[in-house]
Amino acid sequence: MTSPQLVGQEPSLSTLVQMRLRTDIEIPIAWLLLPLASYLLWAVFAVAWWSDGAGLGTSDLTLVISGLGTLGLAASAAGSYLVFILVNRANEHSSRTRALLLSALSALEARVGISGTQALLPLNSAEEGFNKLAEVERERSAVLWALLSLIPFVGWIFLAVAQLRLSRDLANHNRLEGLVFEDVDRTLRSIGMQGIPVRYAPVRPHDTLGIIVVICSVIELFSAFVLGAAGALILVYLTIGAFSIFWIDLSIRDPTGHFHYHSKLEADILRALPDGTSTSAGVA
Amino acid sequence: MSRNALLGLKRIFFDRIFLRSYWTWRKHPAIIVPSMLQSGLSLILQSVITLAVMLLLISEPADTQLARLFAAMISSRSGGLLGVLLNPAFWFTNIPLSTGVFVALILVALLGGGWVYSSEYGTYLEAWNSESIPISAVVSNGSRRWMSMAWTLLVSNLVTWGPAAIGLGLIAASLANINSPAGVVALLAASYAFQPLFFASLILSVFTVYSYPAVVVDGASGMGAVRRSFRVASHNLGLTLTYSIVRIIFQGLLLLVTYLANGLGVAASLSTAFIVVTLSFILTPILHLTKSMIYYHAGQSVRETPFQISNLIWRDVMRRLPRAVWLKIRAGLGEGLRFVVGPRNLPFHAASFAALAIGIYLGYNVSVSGVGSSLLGLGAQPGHGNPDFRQFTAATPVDGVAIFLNNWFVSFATAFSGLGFAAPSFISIMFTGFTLGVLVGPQLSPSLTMFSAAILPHGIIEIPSFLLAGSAGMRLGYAALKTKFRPGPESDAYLSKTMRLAVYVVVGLAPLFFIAGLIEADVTPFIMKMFGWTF
Repeated sequence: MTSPQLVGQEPSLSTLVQMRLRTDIEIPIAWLLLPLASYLLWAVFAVAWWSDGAGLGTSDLTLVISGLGTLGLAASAAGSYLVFILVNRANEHSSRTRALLLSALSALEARVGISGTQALLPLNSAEEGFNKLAEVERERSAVLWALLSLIPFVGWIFLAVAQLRLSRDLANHNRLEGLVFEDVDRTLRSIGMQGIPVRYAPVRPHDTLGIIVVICSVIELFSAFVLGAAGALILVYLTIGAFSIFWIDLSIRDPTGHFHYHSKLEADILRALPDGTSTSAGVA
Repeated sequence: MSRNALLGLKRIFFDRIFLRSYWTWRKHPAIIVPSMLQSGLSLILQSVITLAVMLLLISEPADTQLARLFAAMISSRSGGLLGVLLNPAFWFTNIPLSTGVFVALILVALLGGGWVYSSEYGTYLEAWNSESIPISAVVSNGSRRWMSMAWTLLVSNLVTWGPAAIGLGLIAASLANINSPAGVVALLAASYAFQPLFFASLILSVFTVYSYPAVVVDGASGMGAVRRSFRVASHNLGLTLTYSIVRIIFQGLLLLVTYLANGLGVAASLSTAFIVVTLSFILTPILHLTKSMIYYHAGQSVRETPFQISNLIWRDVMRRLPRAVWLKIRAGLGEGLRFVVGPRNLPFHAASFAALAIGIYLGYNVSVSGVGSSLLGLGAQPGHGNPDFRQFTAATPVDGVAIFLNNWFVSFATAFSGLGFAAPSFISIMFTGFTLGVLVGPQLSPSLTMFSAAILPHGIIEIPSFLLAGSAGMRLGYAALKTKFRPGPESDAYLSKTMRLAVYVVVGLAPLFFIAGLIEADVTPFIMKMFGWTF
């Protein structure tokens, strides 16, 4: 459902810049241990279950399997919390960026009205770019992806998909916001103000990694002729899990550079457009 | 380009609504009261069955089929009440009574459901936009749109589950002629037809998901509410699917926890208590609130949820929630104590005690008159305890917690079913007494000492706690009767006050049921062995 909406009191530019400390958080790399623990526990669980099914186990193994499953579920919950944090961080960063850009554009509109019409072209272009950014960017439900990745075994596939989407979203966000920042810079310069230092540093999505995971998994499925269906599925799980952990590592580290760039850029935007010049802005 | 044009896109964000639903649940504990009412409604439905079974047993105590039904009801292993409902013996034993029970069940489910859902969704809407929600809001919301909600409940369920019901009907019809080749072919055809029909019902359930919120948000009713639900669901399909998937995963995870717990030695029937309590008091309110607010925000006059940084739920769940729960329980203990000693509550305590005493008397008579022999014939072993408690294992304390959750939940239901003019609470307590009476009969209990050894260690805490919940239910019933026959602000205030009291009393009973549950799982079996019980 769409309808034009204006939001009452939105945070000011300086408030949005200050929010950066809470949205653009750096996640400690040690958190990678959470999905790693989940991966290892479910791997042991799978092997134990397989062995039990093959008649290698004893009656006590049922208790061991249930214990491993319970521990695995607890570790998965911790791992899915990391997924929630990663997706939520991306959502909050992009929402804040949109709110910040909208606020900056409002302030610029007010400035351009005073300074003359020569800045209208870059401003219009900036607004168009912003519109595209707002249209293209989507918030992924962090709750949904965290819950999906909590499902034993199958959850790793969702986890990999979540990482793929995160990396693509970051690349898109970086490209589209870069265009808006460039136009904001041109608008500022055209009204005789000091611009903002825009740099173009593309963030690459990790599609190749996704393709490798799919190819490896398909090849491993053929090992069913040697290992049996269960053995092949365990092998696929081990592969997808290992790649996913590597991918989580990338997802933790990828936005760091982007966030550092924002910290410098936003300070410059705030310097160029102090709060007094901005008007009430809309929602991101 | 004007700034308004930039704002032309309105979006609804699942996470923002879901997270805010959690915080609304935390801010307004009153919104779990409708969930408690839901459990009360289930008990009202159960009391219709239990009353029928008690009446049948009193009139025909020597009937083995009835004894089998009774055994199914009190056994946690054979599906309990569901087993009775699905047992043809129950329906064919006494046709007029069965017809009466069937009609009563449908009416109670529809009218009671209408009231409870109207209260639930109305309270959610009020809680979303208010700073505080009094308990009276639960009552006023229930009374406001209960007829529209009952009608919507019927229409929505007919639309959603109609195709699946037709499929089941076809299977049932073909089963009648199963002995002929044509009957076998018909059964096969019906089975094939059932699958797409059931699938259609599942698809429809996604689109009718907003029917109940439509009643309270837009004042719609019946087909109108279903149509609005279809429109909002199809315009926000991704969001609706996200809601449905989140709901399914939560329930699936709870089932997985139960499965793993069973593997660790926790009895299946007991670990389901964990699911019931988690679903009723935490997940259902939060998810239903989320659903209502998705529908609410889909409205054209409602603005987009503004960007704000979410506070993490996890930290709250780990740090603040346990303390908040404990504070409520402590307040409940105080209210419970005042309720026990309050002289004005004596008639309700007396009524609750009378229900138990009448139940024991009737149960004992029925046991002596033939039910005891029938149960022996069905394999009951006097002096032989529940094998789940054969020996102390690592799972035994968990069993105690599960017993606690189950009993606590039943006490909620007993208290809140009192809204049905006290009768369901009375019947529930009476049935507890009836069961005790049957079991204390000479054929089923080797001696009164052995019986006491099995009941008293935990029952000394558990039975008075149940009586107290029943007493709160009686008072709630009295308040409901007063509102019905002497309507006015004074009666409404009394009903709200009693409902608040009932909430606090049952919340305050938690520590008592917890202690009783641990004793039942960990101590009672030892004492039973000391007095000659075998496992």
